[in-house]
Amino acid sequence: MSKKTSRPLKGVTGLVAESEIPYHGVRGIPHIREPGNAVRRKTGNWRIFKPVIDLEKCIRCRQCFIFCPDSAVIWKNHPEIDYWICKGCLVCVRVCPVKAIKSEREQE
Amino acid sequence: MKDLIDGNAAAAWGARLSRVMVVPNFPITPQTEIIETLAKWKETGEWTGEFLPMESEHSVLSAAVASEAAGARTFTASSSQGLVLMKEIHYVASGMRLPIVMVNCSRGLAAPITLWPDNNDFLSLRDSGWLMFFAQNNQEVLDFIIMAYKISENRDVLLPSIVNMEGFILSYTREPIEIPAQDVVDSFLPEYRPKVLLDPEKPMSLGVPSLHEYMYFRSQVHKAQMNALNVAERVFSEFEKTFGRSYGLVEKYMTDDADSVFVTTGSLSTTVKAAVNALRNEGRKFGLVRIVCYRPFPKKELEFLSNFENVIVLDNNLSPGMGGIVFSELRNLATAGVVVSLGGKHIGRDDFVKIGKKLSGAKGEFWYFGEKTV
Ligand code: SF4
Ligand code: SF4
Repeated sequence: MSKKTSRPLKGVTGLVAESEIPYHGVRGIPHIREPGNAVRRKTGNWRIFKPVIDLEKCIRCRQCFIFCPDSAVIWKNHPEIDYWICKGCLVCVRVCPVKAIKSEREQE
Repeated sequence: MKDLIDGNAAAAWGARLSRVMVVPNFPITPQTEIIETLAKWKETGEWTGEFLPMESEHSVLSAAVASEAAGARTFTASSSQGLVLMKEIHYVASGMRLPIVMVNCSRGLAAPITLWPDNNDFLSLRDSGWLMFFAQNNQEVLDFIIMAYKISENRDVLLPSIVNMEGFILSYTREPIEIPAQDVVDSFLPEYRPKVLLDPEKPMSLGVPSLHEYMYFRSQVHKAQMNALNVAERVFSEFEKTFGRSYGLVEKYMTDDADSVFVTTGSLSTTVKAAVNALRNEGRKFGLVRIVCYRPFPKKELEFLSNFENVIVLDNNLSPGMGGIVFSELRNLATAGVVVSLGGKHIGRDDFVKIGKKLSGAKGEFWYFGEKTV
């Protein structure tokens, strides 16, 4: 991971008088200065149901790969789900023409 | 009947029971479920009004102005960016004296983008001429919509109303609430019979230019707002007689023997009440004053704040360059103002207990950033 992640500002906590709030100049502006860092944001912990592909049934049609709204299906001659990113929307389950993707309840 | 529903469903029920005839709409989190619920009822025939999906919130309110002017009881809902996109038409609706009722699920305004609640979107209507009500729970969301129509449609008022609930905290939280029977609501809220309306048989214009008389007409909006104070009190007591739930322009909680009070709005109040209880358990005489009706502003009802040693105003909103909005309106009566929970930043009972203790005897303007760093 790059060091250029936009770090949270040194925080202010608790009860403060208005006059004590520090001013941070341009660091106090909500910019993300590094492109393409969304992969580092784990969205896998949003899942309530987890899509699981049965590669025996899979006919390699790529529908799941095309329709996954978060590009969580990676293509390696066969589909593979990146569970760090997969948020569990189950679009893939819906689009799979041979019902090769099952959803399983996350166990916490 | 009793049911366990969230604030959005309560709002949809409020609209349905008020027999709204037209609902122009546009989706936005965390309000969309209100519109979805009405759409579902339209499909099943449980609600038979006009459902008008529009291309933006600006169009939504424009359509609402048109349908209300044509004599149809009109309802809509929005939130945050959507509410501020309507802004231009808010002033048109009040100036044309159209008793539209809408709901806002408050949500902090971008930038940065947030989905969580604060009241800056709602309070941006402060000067628009709309009647403004803060609901603290889902029952109030439903009840206030029904009452808002009755207050708004009163000939001494004829102004639009907006009922606010904090997004997520109310909009997506289920609470057991009483859904009144349709015939009881019908007896309380009769059919809308406007005196002035657009009619193809008798063409006329509404909201026309008026240079010299502009000031006069805006004075009428102000007078109508001030009339609404009395009308609201009458409607509240009639509501209590019909439905058994009592409301006021201002709610007082444990203020009788208190020496210090918090001043709150909306759903913050329920958490602060828990803090008042906790402070009482430690022997501190705290109470709470909740502003229910924000416009018209219940000045008279709030004068008694001068009796307390500490009057701590909690604002989950901010006018940058001024401070908390409610605090700035109560400057002559309040001892301290605290900006809290912007963008829905977590704040709980114990935080309010801490604020109450630390600000007893303190004067001035404060911020509570919560215990976690930014
Ligand atoms: S559940 Fe949704 S996010 Fe996850 S792989 Fe399937 S389509 Fe993609
Ligand atoms: S949609 Fe189903 S069959 Fe097609 S590639 Fe994905 S898992 Fe395989």
